[in-house]
Amino acid sequence: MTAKAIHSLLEIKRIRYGLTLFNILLVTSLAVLLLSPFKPTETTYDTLKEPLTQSEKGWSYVLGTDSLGRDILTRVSHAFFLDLGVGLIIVCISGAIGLMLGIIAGYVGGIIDSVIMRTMDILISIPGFILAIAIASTLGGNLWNAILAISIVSIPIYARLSRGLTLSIKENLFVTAAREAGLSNFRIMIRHVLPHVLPVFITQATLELSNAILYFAGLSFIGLGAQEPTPEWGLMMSVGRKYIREAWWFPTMPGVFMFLTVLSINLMGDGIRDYLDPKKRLRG
Amino acid sequence: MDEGSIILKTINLRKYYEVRSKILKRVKQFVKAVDDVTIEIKRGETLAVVGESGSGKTTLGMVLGKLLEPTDGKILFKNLDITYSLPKNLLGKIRLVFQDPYSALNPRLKIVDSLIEPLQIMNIGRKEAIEKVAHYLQLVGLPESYMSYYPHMLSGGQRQRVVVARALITEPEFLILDEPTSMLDVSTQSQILRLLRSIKKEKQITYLFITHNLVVARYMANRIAVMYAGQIVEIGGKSNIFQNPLHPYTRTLLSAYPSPNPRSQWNPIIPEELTVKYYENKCRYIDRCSLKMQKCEKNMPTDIKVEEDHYVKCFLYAET
Repeated sequence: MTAKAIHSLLEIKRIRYGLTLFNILLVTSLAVLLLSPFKPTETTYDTLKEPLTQSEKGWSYVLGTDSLGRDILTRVSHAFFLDLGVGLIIVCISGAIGLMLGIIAGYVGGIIDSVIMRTMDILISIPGFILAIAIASTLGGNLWNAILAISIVSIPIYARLSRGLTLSIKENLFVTAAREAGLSNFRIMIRHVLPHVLPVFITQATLELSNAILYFAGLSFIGLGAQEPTPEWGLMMSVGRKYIREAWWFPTMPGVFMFLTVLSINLMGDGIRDYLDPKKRLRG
Repeated sequence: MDEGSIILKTINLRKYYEVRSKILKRVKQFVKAVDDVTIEIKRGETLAVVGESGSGKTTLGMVLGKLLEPTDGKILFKNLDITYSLPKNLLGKIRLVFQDPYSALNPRLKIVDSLIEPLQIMNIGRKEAIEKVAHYLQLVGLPESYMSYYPHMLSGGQRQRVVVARALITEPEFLILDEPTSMLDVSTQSQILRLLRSIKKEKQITYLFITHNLVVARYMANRIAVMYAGQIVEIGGKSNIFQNPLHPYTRTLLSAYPSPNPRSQWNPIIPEELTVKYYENKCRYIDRCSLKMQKCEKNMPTDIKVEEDHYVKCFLYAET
């Protein structure tokens, strides 16, 4: 059953392309992480070297070095795991909270529904990035506060989605039948509602992962996320911005890496969405 | 307890649905799905509730099955008031079988997991529960191996058997069957009905059988209750109702059923007015009734005893 599902998932072009791109990035980053002689935070006198300049340690600086003489490829590869990890944490936190609130709001209804959903409306009515900036700067700029800020901002999307799904699932006779059998509401939500919400939820979460990465890089870019000397794409671009005339590769390379990562995740997310939409699936 | 004692009794049971106006949310009117229903069901009998769509039969079943809170009135089960809460020791003693076997089973759960659920509430261990599942699957005529199947692998009739097994698994004393065969094709219907009858014989369960199909009601029931606009307009033994239908509505219902004999003439009584109005101070059937009298405009009829085990809500049979 699962193998079959994976097989038909791979038949969708976007998923195949996305997955291939993602795997290339993953393998590259992993290889660099393990094999590179350079340390991501170790400064040298080889400042602002062009890509492919030979270094003393045997490897050439494939993507050049930054203003403090650190190898950009090594830093960018470290940042891949940092940004991806942060993105996953954000999606997990906001997804779990949003899913829970949405299912409760949809299932219980009444005043609880109104309170939860109006709160979500307030959150969603403020532009996401502005709100994230406000929260992060109130809490103080560091990595964990940025994660928290973006998580809070992302909750409403999941809450709305899972509430809507719950409302329609609730109408199914098997939910009434479970109630008739004497199951508690909590148990019905876990056993009968959640499994039907999850597939759509996971699709949304995949699409949101790339958003979370972009938001985090954005916050880091304006100094509210990761701090020096952490290797992080947004932060590297922010520092490199000043050197764009002398060393174009310094701000560009992290940007290209981020672009490719987000692209690959979006391709996969779109593909999964197509997979779940039977009308589109027929067209291939 | 002896045969024939009363197992379930309702006293002036009511369930109203509020219809609210769109803007101000003020209550515009009530839909009196169950209105002033007082019935007694004897242990071991089958009471069939018949009536048209919207007459409140299903709501009555849902209220008795504890899925809806009544607006007013009382439900007594074995002389215990269970209107608002069911005592722990009676858990699983009243069960409901739904009409639609296609959506009554969670498509993501295996048959065994669907069946095991009501037992888990009763703190029965998994091993014992699975043994029970196997036993009850056999009882409803399905092989044990179906346990690991998903609902979509079964036919409608097989699913309905699973639904019946899920209701029986908690060893109920009172089973509410809400049109259990109306979604099945005719050949499967008779199988399920025969199964239900044999189970009843074996397990001594009391049935409340909700149906709009009079043939099915005749096959299954000892007593028949005819519902119209939330009220039970006629109730009595099966032969009393079928051989001597008294209420004009009962006659309409009976005439609506074509006889299987092609040579016999079929003249159904087709009422002109089809909307149901919940009158409080006149007979609710007045808009459709061809035999209405002045009296019917002024008062709502109450139960009139016509013969032993035959009551009707109609002034035609009032003595004065």
